[in-house]
Amino acid sequence: MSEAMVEFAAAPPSTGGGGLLRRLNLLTAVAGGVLFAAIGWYISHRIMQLGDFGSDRVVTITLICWALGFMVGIGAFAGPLRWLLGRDQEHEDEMFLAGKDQGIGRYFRFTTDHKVVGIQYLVVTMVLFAVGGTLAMTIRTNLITPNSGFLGPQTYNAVVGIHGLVMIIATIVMVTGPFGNFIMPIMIGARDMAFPRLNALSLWLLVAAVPILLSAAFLGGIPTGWTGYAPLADQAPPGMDAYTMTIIVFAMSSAIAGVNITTTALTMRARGMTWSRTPIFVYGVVASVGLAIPAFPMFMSAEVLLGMDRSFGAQFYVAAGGGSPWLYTNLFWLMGHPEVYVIVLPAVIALMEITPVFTRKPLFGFNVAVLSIVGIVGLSVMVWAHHMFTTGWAPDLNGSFMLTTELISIPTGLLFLVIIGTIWRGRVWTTLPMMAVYAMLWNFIIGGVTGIYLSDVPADYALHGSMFVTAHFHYTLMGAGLTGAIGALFYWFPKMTGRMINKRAGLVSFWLVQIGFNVTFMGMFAVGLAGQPRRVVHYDHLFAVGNFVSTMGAYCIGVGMLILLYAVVSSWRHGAVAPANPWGAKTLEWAVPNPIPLENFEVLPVVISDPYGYGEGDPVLPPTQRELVPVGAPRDPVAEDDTETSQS
Amino acid sequence: MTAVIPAGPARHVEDLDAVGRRWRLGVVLFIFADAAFVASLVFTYFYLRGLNTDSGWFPDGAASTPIWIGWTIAAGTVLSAAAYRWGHSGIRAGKEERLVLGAGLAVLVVLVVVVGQLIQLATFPFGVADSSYGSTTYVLGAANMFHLLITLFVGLGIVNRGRLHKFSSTNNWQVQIIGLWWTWVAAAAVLSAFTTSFVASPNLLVGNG
Ligand SMILES: [Cu+2]
Repeated sequence: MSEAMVEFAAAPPSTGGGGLLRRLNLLTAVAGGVLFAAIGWYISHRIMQLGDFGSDRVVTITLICWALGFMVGIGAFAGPLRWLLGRDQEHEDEMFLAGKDQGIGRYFRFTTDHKVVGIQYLVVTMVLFAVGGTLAMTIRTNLITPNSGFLGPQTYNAVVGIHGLVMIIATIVMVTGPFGNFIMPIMIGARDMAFPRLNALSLWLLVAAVPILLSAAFLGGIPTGWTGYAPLADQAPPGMDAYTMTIIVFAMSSAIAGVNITTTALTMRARGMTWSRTPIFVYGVVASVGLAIPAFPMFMSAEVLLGMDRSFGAQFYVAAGGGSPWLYTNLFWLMGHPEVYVIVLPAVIALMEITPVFTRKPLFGFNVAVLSIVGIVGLSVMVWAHHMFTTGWAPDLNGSFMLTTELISIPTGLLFLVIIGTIWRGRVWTTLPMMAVYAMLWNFIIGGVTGIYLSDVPADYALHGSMFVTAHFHYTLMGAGLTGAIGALFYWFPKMTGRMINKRAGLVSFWLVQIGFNVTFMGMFAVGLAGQPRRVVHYDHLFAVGNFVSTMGAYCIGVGMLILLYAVVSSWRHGAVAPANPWGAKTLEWAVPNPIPLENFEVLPVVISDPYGYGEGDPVLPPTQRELVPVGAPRDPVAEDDTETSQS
Repeated sequence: MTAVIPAGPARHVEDLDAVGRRWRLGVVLFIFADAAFVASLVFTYFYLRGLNTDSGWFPDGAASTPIWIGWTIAAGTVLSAAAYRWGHSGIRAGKEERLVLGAGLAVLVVLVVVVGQLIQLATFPFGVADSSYGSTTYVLGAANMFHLLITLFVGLGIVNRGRLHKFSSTNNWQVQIIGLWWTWVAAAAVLSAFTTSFVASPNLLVGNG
């Protein structure tokens, strides 16, 4: 391996064409991964098959080798090695890495341009949602009748576990990945992220993790659900090794992305963009990835220890050897609850960014919004044991964890008031992104209020482990989170693709998904309240009607999502060409032309007021510079009819 | 609303100080992430030790690793960090040779510590599967090893780049940020030695857990 890397590093530095480094792409990455995995498998199989933990060791080593080979094959190690050897990049190298003049090929490489990385994240997220969504359809199909027999018990458990983890990863990256990378740097007036190479690294680590996760399906599945609780995880088939490796690689990716995005927002804002002039979306993204920076290393350590239990017979989670399953639940939920806000905050705050644009009013209570975000971030690390009320761990602390959890509803409620206050008496321009705002308000209220029931210790004793919990967190993560991400996609689609999204297909999809969603999970609340346990393949006839309703709702979501996919793909390819600022918005990303130049701004902007000054006068600017400036955009939105007719 | 400043140089060259500040924040955040990882291992150690499930933390008749080994490893890491700092203060005063000498010395010390850590991991008088004490002590040693290997890599880079005259009294932010990492690695080694100094569980009730 080291030989290969040295060879890459020694490739001639960038004199025009040639050079091994310049030929690396997704294909060489997959080839490298497969080659390394085969070597790892062969050696470990030969040497280590002996002993009790043989298959776990072989699987773990093979998967580690896959990830290493994949990263070698994409060229991720070239930069550090060149640094070590003192061969710094020339400007030309940087331009090549940024994907200058490479057409579509740059999307399949270790490309550093944040706009390319944003699109790559968007596509990876959509693939993950497609996989997770298909698994969800299988789960609901199995549950259509009490004993459908559609899936066997083992398969059912495996499908539920993989669905859970795929969706968790997809929702974690769905806003900060595509929009945090593509939009946020332009929004703050920067030419790229703080660390462009780390940006590509985080994306390709995520890509390397996806096959590892999917390999679980062929290794006996993840029978524990996405939480991977010990000691069941200690006893599970080798699919669990794929689980631990997925988390370890994904945690690295998230930590790198978190450091990069946080540094970008903190140090690269345009001159004059003080904190009170920074768009609220930037706060949302930073809050999300900032929480992820300490949270995911803990998740990683929980899984490193699990891997050691499984491959070396370590005693971390095995009570018979002096370990404790409570250790796992603590480490897991120390990450797990902040992670909920990693998912929900940027999605809700993206909608908060959208609301002023379509109500033509400043964001109501900007400072309150910022304080609420800070409050949520602060409280979210003090609530983890509300997932453990019934585990017997520290029952004396249940009361205090109940209190901290309920306190979170205060800043969360304030975020609602900020959005409602912005809409209040506004002249609302009801577009697809704005409809997502309304849908989020509806869904998140239901998700939030049911969360208060679950945070209540006596109620939780009755409801924990039931379908009520499943319905609750789908209302927050999907009803608020995914709806927010789809709203953000509708909103920024014209900037990211240069085309308008098909409004008619978007509308049909919106209603199918939102109605289907509420039908599905209202049904699930009902059967959960009646006592149906989650993660169980068969259920009592008592729950038959609710489950049938849920499954019908789920099919409705499925059809709606297919239509959304059609809308995105067809509009991306042949949608109407979008003007630079179709919504008449005032943040900086709408000031750059379509298609966006490689370094975004020929001249870096200087910000002289806040981004929500709708209805205020234009500043006086030298006439030659007016077209660069968002205030030059139409005071009123580009006539709605324009965009509508141009689509038909 | 925005205004625009006149065009800068065509190649968008960035101010060295700005780049340095940015990387410093990045490294501090990476250290923060790594500290969360180390903290969860330390938490694991004290939690399992305090719980002593089924008296399985450190079973009767088990052997522990001598405490002085961990502290020697920590002392070596601190020494290397100090040598590195000395080298860094050299380049700040424009003395290139002192940077190469200090960082080179630091790398050599780390190399010795790596060997020491390897020997410790290979010769623990217990197995990783023997007890939760054994498991946790192993993983702390392995985490330290991981730190040391990264430090070795970046240390070698600084020595080599110093040799190639990449640094000066005004351009040494790379030396500085790697110094931050080095200091953290030393602190983590001390924390690890401190943690493993507490062996016997305070919770000795028979049949607890
Ligand atoms: Cu929680």
